[in-house]
Amino acid sequence: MMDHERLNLAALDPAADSERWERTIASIRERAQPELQRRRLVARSPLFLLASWARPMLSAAAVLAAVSVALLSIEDEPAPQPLVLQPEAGVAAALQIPDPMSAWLDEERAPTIDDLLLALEGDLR
Amino acid sequence: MHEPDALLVERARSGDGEAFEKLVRRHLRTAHLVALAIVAEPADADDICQDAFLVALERLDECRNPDRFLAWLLRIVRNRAHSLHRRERVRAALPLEGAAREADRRADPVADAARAELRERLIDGLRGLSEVQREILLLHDLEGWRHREIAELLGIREGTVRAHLSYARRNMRERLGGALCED
Repeated sequence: MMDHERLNLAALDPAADSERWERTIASIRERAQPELQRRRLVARSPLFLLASWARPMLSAAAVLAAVSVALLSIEDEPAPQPLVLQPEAGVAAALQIPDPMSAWLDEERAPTIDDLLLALEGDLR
Repeated sequence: MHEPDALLVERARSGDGEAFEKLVRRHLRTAHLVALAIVAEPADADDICQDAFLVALERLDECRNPDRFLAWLLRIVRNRAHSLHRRERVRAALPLEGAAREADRRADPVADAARAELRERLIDGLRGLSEVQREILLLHDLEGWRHREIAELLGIREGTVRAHLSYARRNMRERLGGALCED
């Protein structure tokens, strides 16, 4: 069976004797002074300042490099070729209408069955 | 305002004594109990904790996850306690003349003597447990940690923590009886 009742171990509480507790903390504080002093000096040194700048500067440089590469890759893509029209080409050519259709459009007449068959064959080719 | 450990560690790294002292005040008690669980001697636990905090300060740059400063500190405490445990017992935390002066300063020497006697009996009781049972018992019943937190710290299952705790309590009650009654 499990024992769920908490024990009273207060006599072992190191902070119960507050005087002694404070002396322990004061002792740690005092013994830590040389290391804390060394750390303060290091933190003020130019090398440390440079090192503290290095990380954000490196991050910024990496971002700039990534953006530059992206921009360059966009620049390298071939530009879309503009549609060049032949000087003699009419509206039908510009709209890329098959020749058989353009013939009857040019002549301003209704298409015959042959015209329609030719146009269909043109599409299928 | 409660400053997170990570912030205090960052400040202590730059030599901020106030931040370091806050870390000491926040974690010294837990560190002491963990050391006590290993060496079962309060004076030794005191020495171990003082040294552990100084070592931690010197190696603060190696603390890669400052949010988990306590877990990192307790590893240092454990290592130092184990190495001390293997060697002969260290000297008492206070020299004899210092202890005598301290006794003179005390307001109620009778109450202090009774408290010291009870502490001795509890320490004797703890010596009858395994190291892990002592650690679980002290962290749970004195420091107020939850089963889950202890399991995470020790790298064992929560059910194992409960079983150890139950065994430790029963064992202590059998050994000490009335000494464990609530005040």
